[in-house]
Amino acid sequence: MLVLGPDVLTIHHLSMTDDERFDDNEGLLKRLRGISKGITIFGLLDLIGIIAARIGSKQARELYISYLKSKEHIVLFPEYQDSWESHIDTMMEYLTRGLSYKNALIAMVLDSTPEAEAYITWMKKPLENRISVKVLTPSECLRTMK
Amino acid sequence: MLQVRISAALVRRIDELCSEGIFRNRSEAVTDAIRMLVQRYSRTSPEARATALYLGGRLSKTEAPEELIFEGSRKNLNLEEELGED
Repeated sequence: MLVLGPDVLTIHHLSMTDDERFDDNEGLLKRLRGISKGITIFGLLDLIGIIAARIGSKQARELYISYLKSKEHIVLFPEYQDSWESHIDTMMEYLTRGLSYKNALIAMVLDSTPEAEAYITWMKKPLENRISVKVLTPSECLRTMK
Repeated sequence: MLQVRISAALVRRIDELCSEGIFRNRSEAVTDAIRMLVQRYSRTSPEARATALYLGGRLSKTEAPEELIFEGSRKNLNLEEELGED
């Protein structure tokens, strides 16, 4: 299963047609239509924050529910951690690889998702070789599908 | 009247709490637990409730979020800071 980054979905939902990444971004999402794909809960919450700031809180809340109810998207949650101590222990492992906190949260979810084949994002460099799954941009992903 | 099945281990824990004097009896312990449960869900937002349903596998799958496009949203956008490229 491919896991989509919040940046890919932001470009789509905000219909950023002036962005040079838009065509490949849309191309990939079209190719993936009808196929099950993942989004981490942290990625989804990040997307919701951007939509709330740019569009409005009502639309952001609707979008959140819509992803939970989606037939094609699987919202991936991390394994439950019952204390701050275990969270700090887990996070330290990722943060010391040089990941930002946001990427560390995403990496934690990907690591606990054996079905995750690749993580799709335009912001590949900060993640590449620092997480267990392959990281591809939408353009690269499209090329592998051709 | 509510009849529920509770594991023997949990009943033992409830009995321990009763003997410590935290609850007068099993019935009071169970009532307190249910009151807390009801309070927890009555305070939460629809999004939090939907998340609980999702995690419990009880949310109906009916939507296509990719169809939600927010047209006209590009004005005053400076998303590069949020979405910058490599």
